[in-house]
Amino acid sequence: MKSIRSRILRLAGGLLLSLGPLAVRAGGECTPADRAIDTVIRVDRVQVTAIKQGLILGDRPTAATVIGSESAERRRIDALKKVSTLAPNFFIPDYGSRMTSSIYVRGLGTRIEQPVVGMNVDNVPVLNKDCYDTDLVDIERIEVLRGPQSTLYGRNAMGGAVNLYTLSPLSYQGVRLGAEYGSGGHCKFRAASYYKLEPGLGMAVTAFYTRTGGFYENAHTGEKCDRERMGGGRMKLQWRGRRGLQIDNTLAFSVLDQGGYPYAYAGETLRDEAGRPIIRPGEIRYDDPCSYGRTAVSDGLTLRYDAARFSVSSITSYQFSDDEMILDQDFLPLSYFTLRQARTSHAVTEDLVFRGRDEGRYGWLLGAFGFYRHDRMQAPVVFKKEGIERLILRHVNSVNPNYVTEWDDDRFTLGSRFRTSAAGGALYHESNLTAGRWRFTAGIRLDFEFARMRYRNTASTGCMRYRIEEGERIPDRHKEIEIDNDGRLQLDFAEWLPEAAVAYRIDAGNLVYLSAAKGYKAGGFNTQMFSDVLQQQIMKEYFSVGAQYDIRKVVTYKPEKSWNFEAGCRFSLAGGALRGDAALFWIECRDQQLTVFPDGTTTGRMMTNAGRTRSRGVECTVQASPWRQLDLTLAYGFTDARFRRYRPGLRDAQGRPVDYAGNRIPYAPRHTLAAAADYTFAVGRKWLERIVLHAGMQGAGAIAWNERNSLRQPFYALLEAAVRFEHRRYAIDLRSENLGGRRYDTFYFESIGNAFVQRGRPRTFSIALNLYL
Amino acid sequence: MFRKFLLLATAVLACTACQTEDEPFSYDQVGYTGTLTVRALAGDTHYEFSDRNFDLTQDSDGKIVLWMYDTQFVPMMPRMTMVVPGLAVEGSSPRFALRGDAIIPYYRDGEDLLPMDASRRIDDFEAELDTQEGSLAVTFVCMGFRVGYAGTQIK
Repeated sequence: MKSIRSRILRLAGGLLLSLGPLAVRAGGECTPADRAIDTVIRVDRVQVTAIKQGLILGDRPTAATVIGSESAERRRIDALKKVSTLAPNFFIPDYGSRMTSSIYVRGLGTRIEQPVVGMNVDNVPVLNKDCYDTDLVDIERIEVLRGPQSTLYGRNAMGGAVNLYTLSPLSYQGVRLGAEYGSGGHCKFRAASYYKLEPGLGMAVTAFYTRTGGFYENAHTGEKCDRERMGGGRMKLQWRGRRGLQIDNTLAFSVLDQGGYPYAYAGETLRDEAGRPIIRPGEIRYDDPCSYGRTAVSDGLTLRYDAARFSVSSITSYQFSDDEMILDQDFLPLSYFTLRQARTSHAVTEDLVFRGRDEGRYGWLLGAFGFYRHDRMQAPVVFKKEGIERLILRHVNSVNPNYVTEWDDDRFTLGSRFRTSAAGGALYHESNLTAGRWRFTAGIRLDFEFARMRYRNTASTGCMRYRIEEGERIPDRHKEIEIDNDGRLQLDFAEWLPEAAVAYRIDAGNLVYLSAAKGYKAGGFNTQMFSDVLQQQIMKEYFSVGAQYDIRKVVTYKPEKSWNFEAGCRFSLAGGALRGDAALFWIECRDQQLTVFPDGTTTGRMMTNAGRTRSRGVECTVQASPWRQLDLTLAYGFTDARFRRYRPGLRDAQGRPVDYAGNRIPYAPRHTLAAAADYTFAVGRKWLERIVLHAGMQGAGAIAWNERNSLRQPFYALLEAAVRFEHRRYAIDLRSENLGGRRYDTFYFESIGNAFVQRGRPRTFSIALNLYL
Repeated sequence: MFRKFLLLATAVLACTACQTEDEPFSYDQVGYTGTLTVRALAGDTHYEFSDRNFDLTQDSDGKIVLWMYDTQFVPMMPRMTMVVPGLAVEGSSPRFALRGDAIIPYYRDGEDLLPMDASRRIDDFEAELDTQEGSLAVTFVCMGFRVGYAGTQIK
């Protein structure tokens, strides 16, 4: 699979070079209105966008941040991670690999399995969270909607939704070329051609290729472990008929090959029996390969018909991904265990939306959604010499010094294969009633889902038990360990998801609102726990040590539910020179999936719906233009997120059960802050129109690294600066991020009792050239 | 009376064993369920482990054997099955006492019962059971801990 990805990546690079001769109909059309600060969406009638929210996002009683094409271009936002902290209380830590898309919104978040934030690209929901982190070329608009969006978007939008819209060939024509080079051996190339085949038929072809040498070296191999190559493309067709019929089709693909996982050891120096250091604090040093590769293809077809009084839209998608993660799970230069997880996923979605078009007092939306997803996964865990010694034999041989057990080989495999399928549907409705300055909104969604899993776990290995007599090892018994389990699990969920809001419009630019909405994160199967289950089974069946896990109890998890209460406002003062929004929120979450540590097991952990949490806070965004040339932006969020109930099954030194109630929820930052100032010099030359100076700061923290709140990352701020030379035909961009060279950690975890962190990126410099032909 | 009780229990066990001929050591035995408490002899450490099952059987010499399933002395210790053999019976119906001292316990390792090392000897073993109330109370010292158990008979 890796060699196939390499060939495809080389092909993507060649494809980029071949896009130049594509037809060019006109130079890139970008009107002054497009360059206006992007808080108000200018929705052109030719665009099929914002099908569910309606034309003006600012009318909705929802905390929302909008990033327009100019901001995305100037800030080089080409991936979802780059939006982190630009929206308040919206945080995406950059760690691990592109498979890791942990998004935290207002204290809600998850590291594994189902996400809390839904992602939609050109109205198509991305079902697989592992595909969230991909490069996006030519973004027209990004909407970050905070608070539950479950009524309109259903499952896994408990924290919010991110809507991404790509550039339309019907509103923009031309060829766009870009080349970028920066620190860490980073280079990126992109090419896009937008043209109209006929007055109502537009086509866009885009391609990109990015390569990064990496920042972090694995001291064991002497090579950069976070290297990356990625390529991909998109073909978008848009047709506008004369009788209200519109058709959009977007085909996208991407291929990724990366190292990933630059985890540095964070404990005291580990030494071998002779006292020689194995690994020192701050070192990245592991002996087994770590990598992540992914191929993703998706096609989204949107049909829309505008009748006199209503519109009907059908959004159909097919999504395919094939990925492989290889992990040295101990991240040490010791042979503990490795994991190889290979998954192939197919999914189809269909969303049918009816929407009223009357401009009168009453507006309505009615929808039906359905999906089917089928995954096949293999996830063998190879136990190696140290892992066998320390994770299995240490428990066995500690019981009686008169007996010692030795494994037949220096490794064995716990094999796991899974077939999971999920199908679900939903019916939803939203009404809004305008009475003078008041607007009342209410919605309801019935969401149901059926999840099935077939699993097969195998192990074939052996060991010999020796009896110690007068210093001699006498073979006592040989054990053949043969495991071949298979089984099925199934889960069914159904959930009502209501919402209600009332808004009062003070005037055209000012609005206050109150809202309440229920959120929902689907349950499912935690396949990562199967290696723990198998390990426990070996210990129990063949050595009578430990406790047998109940597979269903350990592997399945229930949905999480939340209630979000919010009061907010949107304001525009001084003729629009000062504008923004603010919100206060309170979230109660039940059945939160957390790690617990059952007594008497050998693996020591399992996931369960053990928690209740509450999250409260405030957030605001402000944009000011005191002078025509100067734009100031500020986004600040504060979240106090804590456990209401969480008993992990641990004991303190006195044997009393540990209770984390009142502790901060880990990984969610207490503060997020983004501030920026952009000053535009109008040069007015034929060869140079503007110079834009940008200075900004993005920060997050404090972040608790564990449930007991014993470790944390304090608040950190990263400075950025850029100077951009703009012309209608080109832009040259010089940029620095983390200009102050701030050292910080983006992630912390423990593996087999050893602590690891991922350091944040160091100071970087880059230069980019964009051509608009 | 106690012997009759055990004979009846043994008969039940034997029937259970017949039903599971392929498994020489069956867990499905009539016994007791209760709470295990562990206190360190030095220091204030104190743990409780609930829902632990103990069984009483009789060996060929007429001595009583105590089976302690899912036993652990500290939370991080993996559970194991310990067997205390050679207990003498005293008393009369309905109350009996079991005594033993300097006992080398056994533990289960797969299909085998193996003797523990001499350093894991059980001292000061005392147990009282009431056949009428269906209760069992056990205390002993092992590996620097005083271990107690209070259980009720599983009907």
